[in-house]
Amino acid sequence: MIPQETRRPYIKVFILLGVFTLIEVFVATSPLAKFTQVIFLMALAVSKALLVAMYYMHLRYDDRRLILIAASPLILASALMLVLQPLVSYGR
Amino acid sequence: MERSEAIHPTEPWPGVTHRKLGTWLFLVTEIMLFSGLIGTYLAVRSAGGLNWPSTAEILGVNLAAINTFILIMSSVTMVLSFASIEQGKRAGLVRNLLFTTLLGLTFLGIKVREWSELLHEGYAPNNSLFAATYFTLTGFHAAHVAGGILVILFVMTKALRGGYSAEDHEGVELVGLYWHFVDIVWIFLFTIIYLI
Repeated sequence: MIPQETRRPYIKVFILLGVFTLIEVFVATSPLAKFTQVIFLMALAVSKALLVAMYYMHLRYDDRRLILIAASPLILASALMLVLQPLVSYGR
Repeated sequence: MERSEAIHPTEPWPGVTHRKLGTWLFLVTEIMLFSGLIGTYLAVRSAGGLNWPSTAEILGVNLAAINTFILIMSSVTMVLSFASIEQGKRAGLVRNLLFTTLLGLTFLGIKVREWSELLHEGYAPNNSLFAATYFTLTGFHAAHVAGGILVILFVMTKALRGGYSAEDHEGVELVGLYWHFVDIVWIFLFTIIYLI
């Protein structure tokens, strides 16, 4: 059972998620260079995903092996992105 | 009640039941599904270059941002429903499951509105690669949201009949895992489709 005190971060995490979403919209509509925008936006998206995974999906409190299982497809997904890259040059 | 450190027949690891492990393994397959979809979208969009329409310009970012916030709120109500039944509060469980369902339906309603707007602008899957990829990505996600709502309704029905308690509520946690995963997918879809 998850300890009682871990209930408190739920609302704090929600506020953080809301703030990050607002920052994302601000960054996307700002005059920053595209590359800079992409870096900021992906960093914010990953941060939001990690917050949801660690606190709402309780990975922070569960067995470490679940984190390994949850993270494993990220390696496969990265490989998939690399494999799909030839499609980019094929279309040009 | 403290969990025993001994491994029970239903637990491959201490504190992790077979059902929970199975749910995580299912989510791994779902991550691969969306990785394939998103990866293909990125490759096709990169090949499209500067000719690729801007989703933000066609549909606007504000409504999608509100929809993102709605789905995040549904994640909060979902985790609060779990927190409620952890303390044996059945009313809190049912109330938060209901809020989660309503927020999920609101998300789908806004999504349907966006689809209608896109079709009205002349972007259809059969005449635009942009529309084909947009409808595929958001359609798959919406289908997952709809499926999640059905499961949440099932859990809510069981909760109304007193099917969960402070000692036995794993079903709530497992449906929560799926729902939070759906939220995470949308976090990335929102960023990749609307903002970048």
